[in-house]
Amino acid sequence: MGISGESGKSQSDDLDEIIRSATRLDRDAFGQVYREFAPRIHRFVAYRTNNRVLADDLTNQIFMQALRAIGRYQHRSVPEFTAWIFRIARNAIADHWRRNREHVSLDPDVHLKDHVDDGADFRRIENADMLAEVLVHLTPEQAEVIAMRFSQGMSHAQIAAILDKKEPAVRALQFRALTTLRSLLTREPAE
Amino acid sequence: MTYRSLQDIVVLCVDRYVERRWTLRDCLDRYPEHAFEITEMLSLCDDLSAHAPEPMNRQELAMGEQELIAELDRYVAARWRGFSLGSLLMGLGTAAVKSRIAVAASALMVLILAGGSVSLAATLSGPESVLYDYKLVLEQVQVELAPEAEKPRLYMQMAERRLDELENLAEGAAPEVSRKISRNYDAFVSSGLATLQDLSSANMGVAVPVFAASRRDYLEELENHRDRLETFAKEKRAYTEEVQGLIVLAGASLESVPTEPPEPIAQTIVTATPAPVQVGIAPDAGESTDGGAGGSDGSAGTVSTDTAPEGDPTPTAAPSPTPDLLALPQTEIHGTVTALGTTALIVDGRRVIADTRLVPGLIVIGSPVVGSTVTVAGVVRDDGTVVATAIRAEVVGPTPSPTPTQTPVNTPTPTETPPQTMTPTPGPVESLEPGGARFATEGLVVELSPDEMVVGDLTISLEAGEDGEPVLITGGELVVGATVQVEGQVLAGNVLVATTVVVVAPPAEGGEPEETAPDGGDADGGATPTPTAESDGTPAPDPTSEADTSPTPAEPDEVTATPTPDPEDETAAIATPTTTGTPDADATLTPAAESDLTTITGEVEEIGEDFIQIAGQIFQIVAGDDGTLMGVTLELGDVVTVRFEVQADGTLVAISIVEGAESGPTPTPTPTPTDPPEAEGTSEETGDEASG
Repeated sequence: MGISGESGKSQSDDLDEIIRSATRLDRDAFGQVYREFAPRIHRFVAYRTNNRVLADDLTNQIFMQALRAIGRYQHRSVPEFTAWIFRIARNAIADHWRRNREHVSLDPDVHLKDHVDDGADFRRIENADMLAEVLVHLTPEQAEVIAMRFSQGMSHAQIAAILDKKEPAVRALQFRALTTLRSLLTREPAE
Repeated sequence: MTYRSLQDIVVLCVDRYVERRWTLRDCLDRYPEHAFEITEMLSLCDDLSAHAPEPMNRQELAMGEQELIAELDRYVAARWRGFSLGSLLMGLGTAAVKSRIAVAASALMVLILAGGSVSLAATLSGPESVLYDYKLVLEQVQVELAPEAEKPRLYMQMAERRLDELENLAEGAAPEVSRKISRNYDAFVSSGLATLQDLSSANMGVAVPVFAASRRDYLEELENHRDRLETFAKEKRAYTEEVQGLIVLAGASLESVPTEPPEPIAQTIVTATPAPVQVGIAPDAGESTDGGAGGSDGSAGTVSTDTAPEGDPTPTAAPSPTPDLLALPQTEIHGTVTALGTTALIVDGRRVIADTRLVPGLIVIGSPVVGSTVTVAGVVRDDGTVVATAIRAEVVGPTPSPTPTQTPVNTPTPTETPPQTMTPTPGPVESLEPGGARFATEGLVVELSPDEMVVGDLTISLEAGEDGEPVLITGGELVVGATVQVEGQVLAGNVLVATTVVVVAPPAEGGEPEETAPDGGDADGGATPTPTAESDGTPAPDPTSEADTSPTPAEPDEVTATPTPDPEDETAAIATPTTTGTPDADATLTPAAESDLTTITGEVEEIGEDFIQIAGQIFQIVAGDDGTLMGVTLELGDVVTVRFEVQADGTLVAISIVEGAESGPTPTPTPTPTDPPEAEGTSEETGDEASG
């Protein structure tokens, strides 16, 4: 079943109805909402944390929080619900990091540059660990945009709704994030 | 060819590439001068996508769902039992609470290591000790670590400790202490019951003998507790209110224990879709004979219809919630509340179950307290217990209303103002959804503050939820003296929270001059709401009729007779939709083409495919020739004026949307701009692509 309204109006309407039932704490509906959204939330969390076990736990927490808050959620549209649940996910990740003080200090050898020379050697990201290493150099919002864009394929409009920003702001965040990453991954040619 | 910065080009290429609309080759063909940057950026995009984590597999998904549903059952059970120990105990089994418990337990461990004797002190500490809360956490951890089937018994063990504490509590102890003990007792008993219900769930996979043993342990303990409580009540006559409440709780819990074979609660709810929810709620229902003076002999105050035989109100067989409430005889009783629990109350000695798991559409109007008079509509079980479908508590003492708006449910009293009536939310199916206890009322606003209002004798919260959803107020300005229709939800503790408020008539002239709406300012010192230009001062009950003439926020001082929004508070000034005046009204008023249209000016907070949000309110955008006239391309943050119509169901449908604060007599709608397919690009980009 599509959740972004791409796969037909009737399916989207079905999901609307399911979400409405879930807001009334209907068991089956809540289960269906979980099946629809948990994989996306899990992938987003895993992308941000690079820790699958932690992602399992946080995804669980996120839906527990959603369960407690859903009575106050007034459903209007699927994209709005998507934004709502992703906001819970963002908060859960931020809370986790606050609690665990997982601040990774920037590598002192990494010097960000405004401009990358044409002759510089551009390294590719080889695996998830390397991806996680470079992502910690982004601001939380930049990292969130990257995670939503590249792990979920979300549009700027969808990301803007979740971050409560305008689309141009999201584009700017994405550009700055990519520029930072490109700079990080560029080595000066050997003298 | 328009000039583009490198940033624009990279963003454009990245977006097209990520959305699989352009290939690398497409990008390089268009911008060969930036081939180097584009190539690296797109490689980076490939890497960012390629190393995204694997999605959850089916097994992980199924396990997560199972855990969530178990939590949902616990949550629903606890929520309607007025769970009181709060989140500490309510979320057993959740990672969040586990971690909280773990933190608390860790803190306790530190104390143990530091002091050695602290843990002993904690376990021995009484309810008045500062270590008492640690003791509760420790007990909670003990239960949490136990196997699932053991938990009901352990919960009852912890509950028994609370009973011991209550019995040993020194006379003259602070009332808060006895209340605290009672709340904790309630929480442990409810947790035990919720766990039993989990165990009874088919998808828990618990063997029937295991479930039977857990159930037996729980029942034995609970019956023992009830005996102790009754003895305590007779002998000591202390903490009467708390003890009576606990006796009721014990009785109600005994009745709610799932039977064998397990029967899922959800199924019970579905099959218990009783027409009786309607019983006695509608104003034209059968009249009740007043009694109200029943004694403590076990008879109800007054039974007005075909009632069940009188009997011992204390069940001995602990029946499960019966699914066929429809088949039971209907009744209505009127009397005094002599004891109150979380899911049951005693009305003149008669036990009344008020449990949304049995009747999800249960309507509770007012706040029943011990000593208050209530009217209960419901059905009678074979054991004489009444299962309530609607309860109305009447006000104790003088009515604060300036007009006699308090009308007993079945005794319509003609008044000049519309009487306050209690009606179920339309649609029996919807009103019977689990957790969906809703209320609807109509009456005069007699008190108003920013967070709540009193309508007739009901106190209704106007506070937005934690997610910031504001109460939808339509039809006019919410002021004291106005007649309103309110719909909302009944939360635990019978707290009424409004979701929609429709002002159906403004205050009559000369009434309640001092009070104004929460956000309303007072431009001229006189806050008397002005009736419509055509009004003769008689409140019009039609929600779609003109309610009042209000100025547009831009020129508030042009109108002197209308409560004027605070000019400094722009949000407040534009947040309340104002019904427009007639075309011949003052030039500063926003005229309307049709009398039942209203306008709102404000910043666009959200845009959806078919809606727009301004000042927290959603306005539907209707497509088609007869749909919403769009005079502006919507962008977040733009100030627009929406002319809209209030539908019968409260939906706000935009008739036209124009840019800025409306100044002309009628918006001049321009044709709806068609969204270019490349909407996310700049205008330059569009031109560029067109030329390309």
